[in-house]
Amino acid sequence: MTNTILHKTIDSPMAECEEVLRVEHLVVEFRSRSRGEPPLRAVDDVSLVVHRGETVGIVGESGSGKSSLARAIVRLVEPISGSVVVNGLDTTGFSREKMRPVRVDLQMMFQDPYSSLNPRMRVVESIMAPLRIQGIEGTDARIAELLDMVSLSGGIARRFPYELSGGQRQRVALARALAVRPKVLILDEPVSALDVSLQAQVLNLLIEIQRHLGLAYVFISHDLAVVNQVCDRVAVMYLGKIIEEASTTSLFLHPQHPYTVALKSAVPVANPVGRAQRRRIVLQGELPSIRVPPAGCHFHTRCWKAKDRCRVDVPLLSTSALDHTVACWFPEPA
Amino acid sequence: MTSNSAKPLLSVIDLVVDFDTPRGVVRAVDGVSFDIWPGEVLSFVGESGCGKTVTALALLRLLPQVGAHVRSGRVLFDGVDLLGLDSVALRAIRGKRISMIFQDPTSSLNPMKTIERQIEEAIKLHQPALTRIQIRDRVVHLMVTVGIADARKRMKEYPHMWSGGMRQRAMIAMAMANEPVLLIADEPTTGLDTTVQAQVLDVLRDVRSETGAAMLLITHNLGVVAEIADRVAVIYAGRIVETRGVEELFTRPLHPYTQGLMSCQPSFETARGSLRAIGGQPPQLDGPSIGCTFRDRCALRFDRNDCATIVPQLSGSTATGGQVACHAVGGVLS
Repeated sequence: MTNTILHKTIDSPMAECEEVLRVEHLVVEFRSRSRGEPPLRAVDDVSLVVHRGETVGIVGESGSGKSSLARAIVRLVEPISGSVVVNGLDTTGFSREKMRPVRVDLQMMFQDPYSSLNPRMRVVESIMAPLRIQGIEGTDARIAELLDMVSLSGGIARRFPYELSGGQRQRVALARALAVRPKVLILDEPVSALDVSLQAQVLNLLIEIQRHLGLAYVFISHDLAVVNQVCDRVAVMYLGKIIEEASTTSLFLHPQHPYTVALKSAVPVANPVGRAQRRRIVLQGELPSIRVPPAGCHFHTRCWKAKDRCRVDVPLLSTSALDHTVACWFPEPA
Repeated sequence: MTSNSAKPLLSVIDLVVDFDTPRGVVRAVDGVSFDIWPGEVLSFVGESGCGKTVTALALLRLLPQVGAHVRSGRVLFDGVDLLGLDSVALRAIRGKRISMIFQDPTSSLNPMKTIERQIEEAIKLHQPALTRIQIRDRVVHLMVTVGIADARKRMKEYPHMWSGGMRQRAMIAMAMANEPVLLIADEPTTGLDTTVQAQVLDVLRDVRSETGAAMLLITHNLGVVAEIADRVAVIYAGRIVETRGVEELFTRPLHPYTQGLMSCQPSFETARGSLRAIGGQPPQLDGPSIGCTFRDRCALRFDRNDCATIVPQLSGSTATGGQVACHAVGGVLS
């Protein structure tokens, strides 16, 4: 990225505190296809605050509800209750029409760079699409600026997606999301489909762009090591609920929820020395069905610390240390 | 590691595989040679399209009949060249002495047959003399080995009733059905959740210690390599660029590509935003390689004239027989 195209860097402490996204008690349910079955609660009472220039990670296994949360925030799915406040504007109950201007501030980037770009649109058309929808004029200079921002050469503008590699496509998707100068960008597994060398390129790009534009990211990923690279704060989801949230350092150095402890210990370590002695908590079984979540603490069926109380009472998120909340009756010491 | 046994189990010598594509002939595997010793875990690591899967498919003669050409090479297994065998002789080896696990267990299982039937089939095919009861006992034993709880009941179920992790266990059970001496596992944990990945890696470790089978593990995940491999072959653009014992590779990677891969692997140890990406993209392999295929992305770029003109060969030898194909660092070893 060359310096000429940069927006002014905003680093004042006040700006850092500015709240750009507030999610409160969000609930997403999907109706069951067969009659009589209860609806599936994919997101269960999730609250989240994101500040300007901040990256908040959402981690969890497949089926934990992280993508549903992302989709509900941008209203690709309709939450059944709760509120989403974007840059000070409560969007609860907004119609599609009323949501449209909100999306100037709130954009999303998807996991799969193959299906998220229209194969019949040239790169330039894809990037201009959000501008067109918002009635903003898309100048050649702006396109060039956007392509430069994501480290793509201008020559790529006339190409079609099939002519691009996965990494290039993901950069195009990023340029498209940045086109309307959003304040918040929801990134749903943005590097999961990429090889490790391209993954590092895109992660570094995201960090650099954030540094210059001061925008906030909600970074959804199943990969804890990736989240550790880019996030300021991390929320861990299990069966639709946030079960632990903390600063990245605090969460990974002192995980307090047994699930987070297990999740972290399951990440393969790229260091063979002493691997035989490494302590690993291998969770038994797999994620229970979200359709019929276990009573009490959802995690008790796989938890090695579970006691009678866990099978009955639902633990609520409570502050356990400075900037560290956990929903567990018997958390690890802070 | 058993690399001191007299004879390798499998020797691949100068394997070359071409694919016909609309853009012309692509050389997917370009002179790959390696040995697998009895009981060892050799890991192929590299990014998509580097030729690691094609190599594995070629040595079991599983490449598509049309469009793929094994131009040269020998695959010696027990002194016999697999590439020269007729289909009857080959079938006696495949699934019996060498078996394979594929990445996607869902598409590798027959949806119309119970898990039990499918594993039975694998046993019957190679051990027709066994009685029904013997086969049944063998299936149960295999299910228990790969950690299926309540095996006698669950094996009567169909694949769709099993989760992804369980299906992969079923694939491993099937692969181990006839006690092969070599197991080829192609991205066995890719696409699985981290917690399930840890379970499957444990199963592979157990299977190995129980049967003593050698393993060729194909993966793009350096963490998985570090967890389970004895020896590693790093593959780039259809060539092995470095082959080392796992500990010495991770302690001191020599090839600039290996170093690049390691420095862009996110982990809990690396500080935020400090990933060093490998610039550029892997080369298109549609022309003959002139010089080193990695030179455009190399951190030691154009240090030497040879890089642009002479294809570097694996050379040198570390204490454990490690080799590297690089003009710049090859001399370090010899």
